[in-house]
Amino acid sequence: MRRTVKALILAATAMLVGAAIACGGEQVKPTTAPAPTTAPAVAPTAFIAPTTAPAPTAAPSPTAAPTSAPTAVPGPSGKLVVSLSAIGPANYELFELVWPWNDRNQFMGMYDTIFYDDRRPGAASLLNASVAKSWQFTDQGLVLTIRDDIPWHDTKYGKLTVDDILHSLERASKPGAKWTRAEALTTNFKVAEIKATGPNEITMPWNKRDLRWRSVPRDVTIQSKKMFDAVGAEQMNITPMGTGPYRVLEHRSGDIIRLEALDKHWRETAHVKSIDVLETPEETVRLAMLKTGQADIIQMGVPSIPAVKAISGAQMLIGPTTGLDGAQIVPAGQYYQDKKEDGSATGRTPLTQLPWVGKTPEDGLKVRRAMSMAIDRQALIDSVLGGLGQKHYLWNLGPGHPRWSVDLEKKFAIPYDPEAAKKLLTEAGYPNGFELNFFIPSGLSSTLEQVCQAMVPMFAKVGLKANVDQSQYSAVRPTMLARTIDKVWCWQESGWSVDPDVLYRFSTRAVWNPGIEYVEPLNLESRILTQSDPEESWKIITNEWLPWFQTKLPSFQTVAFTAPIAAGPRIKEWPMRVHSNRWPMEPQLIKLTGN
Amino acid sequence: MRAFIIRRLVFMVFTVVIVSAIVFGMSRARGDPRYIFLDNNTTKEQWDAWGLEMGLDRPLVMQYFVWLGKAVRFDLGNSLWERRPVTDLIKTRLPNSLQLGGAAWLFAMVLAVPLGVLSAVRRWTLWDYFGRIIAMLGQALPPFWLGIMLILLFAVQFQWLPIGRKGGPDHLLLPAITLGWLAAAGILRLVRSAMLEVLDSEFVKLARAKGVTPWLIIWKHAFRNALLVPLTYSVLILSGFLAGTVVTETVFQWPGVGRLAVQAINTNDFPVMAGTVLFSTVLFVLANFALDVSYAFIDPRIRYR
Repeated sequence: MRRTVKALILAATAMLVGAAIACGGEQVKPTTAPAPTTAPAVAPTAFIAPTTAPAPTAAPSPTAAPTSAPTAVPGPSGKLVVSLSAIGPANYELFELVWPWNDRNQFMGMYDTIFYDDRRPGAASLLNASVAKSWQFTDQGLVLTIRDDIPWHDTKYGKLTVDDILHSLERASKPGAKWTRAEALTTNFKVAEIKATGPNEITMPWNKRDLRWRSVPRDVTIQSKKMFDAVGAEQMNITPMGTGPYRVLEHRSGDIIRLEALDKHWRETAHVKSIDVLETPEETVRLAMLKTGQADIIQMGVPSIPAVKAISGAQMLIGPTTGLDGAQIVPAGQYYQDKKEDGSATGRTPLTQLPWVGKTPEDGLKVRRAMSMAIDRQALIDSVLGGLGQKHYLWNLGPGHPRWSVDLEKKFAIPYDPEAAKKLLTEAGYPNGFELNFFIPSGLSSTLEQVCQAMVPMFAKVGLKANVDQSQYSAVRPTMLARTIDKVWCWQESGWSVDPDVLYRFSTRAVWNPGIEYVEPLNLESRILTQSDPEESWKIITNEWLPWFQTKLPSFQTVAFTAPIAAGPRIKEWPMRVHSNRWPMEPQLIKLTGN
Repeated sequence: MRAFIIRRLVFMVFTVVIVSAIVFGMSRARGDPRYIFLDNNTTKEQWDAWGLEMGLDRPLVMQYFVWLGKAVRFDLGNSLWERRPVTDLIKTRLPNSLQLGGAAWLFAMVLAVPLGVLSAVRRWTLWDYFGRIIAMLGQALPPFWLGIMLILLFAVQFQWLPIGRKGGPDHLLLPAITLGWLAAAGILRLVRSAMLEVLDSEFVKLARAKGVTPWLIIWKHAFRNALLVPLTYSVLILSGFLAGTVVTETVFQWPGVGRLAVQAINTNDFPVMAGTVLFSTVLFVLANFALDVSYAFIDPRIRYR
């Protein structure tokens, strides 16, 4: 028997050694922290939120001379490892960019756009130069003057020219393009007539101009026509090559994106030389990577804050717009729009058998108001969000938006008052409450799920028995397209942008709908979009749109919350610049207590 | 034997076609494939254009036959998410799944076979109890939990091993153990029970009586006769590993075929969904076929007409 055991051990060892030899592969060494006193300040310039990546843009104003990287600033150095739940597909060509990854090109600093928004309070101008160094609005169209000193990452394609911009716009507007601004492009501009009107000038004639026009030059990432002609669409799609501060070295789908900073960039040179963006679906594993130093920055949910606080040296990057999100309650079934924009019948009627729709609109309103009054928003902030959130009442206008203010929020606030809620329910014909199907989509946000789950006992307190349905969002989505959804559901609505280009959600215009259709917002949207002066649009929004929304209460906000980003001790500072095209980014990097 | 092989091949093809039809139908039943591109601002014109691009204007049956016709030529279409051939995506991920699956299978065999034999030979001793505990734990501990626990212990607490991701041999250890332990549990039990049965048989008693050494009795006489059932199970396990293992690949961020399939389901990428399931089906069917044929060599008493 002793010989048998000996032989077994030998055999097992041999097999293990053989397996080890056979399974050789590339070794990925975790990054090691440099000595704190000698390392240069690691100022990451790449992104914070899962789908956004701010690029450092200190772009000049339209009339200023082009900037160059300050000579005193050393070149990029060091390496960062960032761990996210998903990195998206390896698509980079405008025709193929899939939502929600369509903005990744500029968010990760790989590509540039024609110009960008600066929405910081006190910003000199909303529109800022990028690839276009200046522009003019005429009655006929938008005239852009393009820089002539922007090199492509691959030098064999020379410098960015007007042909590249024309090509990019053409690809973005081709029928079947996946780009989310394609419709804004074709609505606002006569795409077929966009042409070069000078060696560095492009004229974009207006079509039916509305306020979404800005989203087109702001969001279209410029791609090389020469490269497209040389390699074709398919190869172009999987070979990222832009003009941004970072070039893509490698993108392995479902695994990693490797970025490398240019040593000098025409806009602003990055500080960090290389960034590895890893796809790590499990949050526990991301936390483990942060703890062991295998990741410097990780995506996290609010429920993970205690775990991050327990990690020595961990920090949180948090600001008014960091991963900004909100929980909105949508009582679906309010299909009050009987005619589409073209005058044809929708064929839908409001589902009056549902208490929150009501046999009469007034009854339905009472029920919806009661539901809103049943929510103790402060308790959600204190207990679920750990204090990282705020009460929220405004539709799609939240903290971080330059027009948002606490006073505006208070103006439209609905008090927490369970007794008043019960009274309203009684008046509406439900003295004993009622049962409702409460859809809390899984797979969107763990924070949202927890916030929405916490509302169930609050509803119960006023007599509303919520039968929770935690199906995958994708499973219920077809009912939204078909306009048959009839549940009360928790919508992950970020109250950060009441931009005109997101206003037509509550109408028949979009393919997707949350379960609410009214004629009034459609009319308001049309007026808002067709104002030539943004200030006039804002007057309509604040004087008519928001009051209508708060009076009719088709749905209601509960809390807005920010999901912080966790950073390891190697991150010394994070001088967040204005994002290339989004809301202001002025988060703070805070050391957590006890570290 | 030839007739048997031909019959099995025909049955294989039939099985694959039936499964492909079911998979194709189920992937479409899950929802409109255009959802993958849908955002809250999508207009009807975009929606219709995408439908034309994907051939959704044709009847479902026609769509299936077009897909099947291409599939037999190894053209599984293009991923809606990645916009590249499904076969390329599978080819990219397959070596990773092979590496992980192979390592896990080796671990399972190394752990289960010797321990199963030992457990049977040394019945009711410490070795037997040890083996049975290993088997019980393997079956009781969910791979998801086990993987995370191993990470927390060996990668975070002791920092002996990396947390995950594809890399060198040290990157393979934890995922291989996580994946292989459950398989090892089953193989161990099967080896033990098969060995116990064979060790009790008359020809083994005769061999003992004739003075054959224990080593030869165990490995030449008993083990070979006990091999059939555990071998069947282990080969099926291996083909399952190679087809991709979702949980382990997700926990350890291993870019294999399993994660590709999950991503396809989450994004409603029906060409990849159908392609990965078809790939798994073919793998299983081939594994079964190879097993059936190998029986005739392992056990000469089995002859096929």
